[in-house]
Amino acid sequence: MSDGIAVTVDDLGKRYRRWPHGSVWALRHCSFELPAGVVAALVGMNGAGKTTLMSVVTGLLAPTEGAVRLGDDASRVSFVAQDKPLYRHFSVTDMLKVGASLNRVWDQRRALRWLERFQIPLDRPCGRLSGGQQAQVAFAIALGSCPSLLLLDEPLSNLDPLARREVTKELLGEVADTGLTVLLSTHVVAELGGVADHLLLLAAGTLLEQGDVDDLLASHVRYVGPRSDTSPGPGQILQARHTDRQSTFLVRLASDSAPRVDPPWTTQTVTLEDLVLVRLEMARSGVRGVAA
Amino acid sequence: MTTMTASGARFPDLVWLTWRQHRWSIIAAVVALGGYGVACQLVQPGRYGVSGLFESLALFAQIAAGLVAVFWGAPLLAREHEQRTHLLSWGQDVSPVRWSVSKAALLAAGAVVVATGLGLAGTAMLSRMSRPGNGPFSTWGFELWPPMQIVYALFGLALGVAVSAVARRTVPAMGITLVGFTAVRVFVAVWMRPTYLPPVRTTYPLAEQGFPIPPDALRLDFGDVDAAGRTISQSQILQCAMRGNHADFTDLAACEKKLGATQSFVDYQPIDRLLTFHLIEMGIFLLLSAGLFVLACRLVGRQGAL
Repeated sequence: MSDGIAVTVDDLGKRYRRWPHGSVWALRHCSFELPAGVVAALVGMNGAGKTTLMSVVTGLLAPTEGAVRLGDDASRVSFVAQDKPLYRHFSVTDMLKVGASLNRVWDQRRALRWLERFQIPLDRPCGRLSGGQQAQVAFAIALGSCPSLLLLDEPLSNLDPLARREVTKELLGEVADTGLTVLLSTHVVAELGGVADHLLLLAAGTLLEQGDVDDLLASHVRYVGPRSDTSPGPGQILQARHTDRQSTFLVRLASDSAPRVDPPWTTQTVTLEDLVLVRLEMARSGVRGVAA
Repeated sequence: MTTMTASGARFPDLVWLTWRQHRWSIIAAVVALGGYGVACQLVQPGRYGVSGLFESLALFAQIAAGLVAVFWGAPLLAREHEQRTHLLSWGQDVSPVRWSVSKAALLAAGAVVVATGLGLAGTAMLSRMSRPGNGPFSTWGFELWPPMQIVYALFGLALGVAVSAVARRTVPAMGITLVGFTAVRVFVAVWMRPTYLPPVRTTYPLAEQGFPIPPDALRLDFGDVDAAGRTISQSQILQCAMRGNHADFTDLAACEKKLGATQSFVDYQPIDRLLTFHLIEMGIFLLLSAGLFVLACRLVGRQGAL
């Protein structure tokens, strides 16, 4: 991991014209920084603007407002689109040659290594590969172009559970080996455990939450105790749940220090999935921002 | 199999990519051209009108540029959008505009070669037929001339690429391109070409048979003029004749007199204007091609083009 910044996104907005229905902001007021060498998860429900954000950062789409600045050591960006497009009549070898032809820097060995790991037949036309194999070819091309910032749109969606785990492991290996920064989008929050060390939570085109995953988890806590209308400890209540006998409060703490609560109350750590779901629920019920 | 080759994204790489993606349509065009050349040799002047082969071949040369438009131009960007592969190809080091321009330019070079071959074979066949109506100013003679074939093919390719940048679906792009190409070609050939320069008018006695115009000239309008030199058109004379009791040719002469016709006239474009006409029509199509190419590049370069 290097100390640099891989990418800075500053007040980014993207408006689509939907003739004749006026225009729609798919993305608005998005600002964040990604430190180099992190695996960042871009989480949001379908239609939240994940693909738009990735396309703009990749440079495939011009932003309506705001700017994307790549870090000094992150000048090479690679993007794997959600549908993992390949030329159907090209063999896998030809697809790699496409990658080599369209890039000033190309690492054929790195691309081949990836394909060997997943036993992809090199001489077969891409159209006759399974969806999972096609995804592997798309990843191999992306890695072959030696990116310093790799954007993966729903990378695991075509893969079976075993392949998901292996791809995740190999990607983390690439990150560790090369200092690569990865931004991957997903709407399956459960996939993120142990993978992402940075979170970008997107809903309806705006960022709800962002930051280092460990920091985020450390600054949230759940209080569990007897039925009560008020929270037993410090922190802003994000979610309160009550059964007949029990109350649960998920709160955001002002500082990282774990609060003490008097028995019979107990504190529980919050998982990334808990946090994401709570914030998405809040967004849906109309609570826009949470003061830190 | 080298690590970190710093050699991609050069022109030969784009040549390879263009060939790899379009090789079957290029091979099909070359095979068709070879077959066309052979077929042209089979046309014998003596057997004209028996097989219909001559007409078929001349007609094919007229629509060949349309095939370039539909099968080379229209899929160029549309198929990428349709199969989403533009998300792969346009996210690499080679910019979308450079990618598109290189491919279009290489296909344009191929189109020039094919159109030249077609024009040469067609013109040679036409000259062997050497009969009135196939002269250099006739529709076939004018359009089969190799440089004309080249500009038609370039226009077709540019139109196809521009349409495909807008339509983004292969089959609709091919359809729109076919209709657009045919419309422009027919409009220019039928309505614009005769009037690139004001025609030469020659007058002759009313009773004379045939048109006293130089050989190989392009005949346009004909009719009568009155003593003041005003034009009396063919339709005026025919209308007058049809109001008469028996619409036959004896009435025509009477009507000509009645309308005050003193002489007949014929308008034509002399053969020495042929090169000027070729240059004017080439200019029209080259301007259109350039405009369409620029439009296509702007659409691709606008980035919002996803």
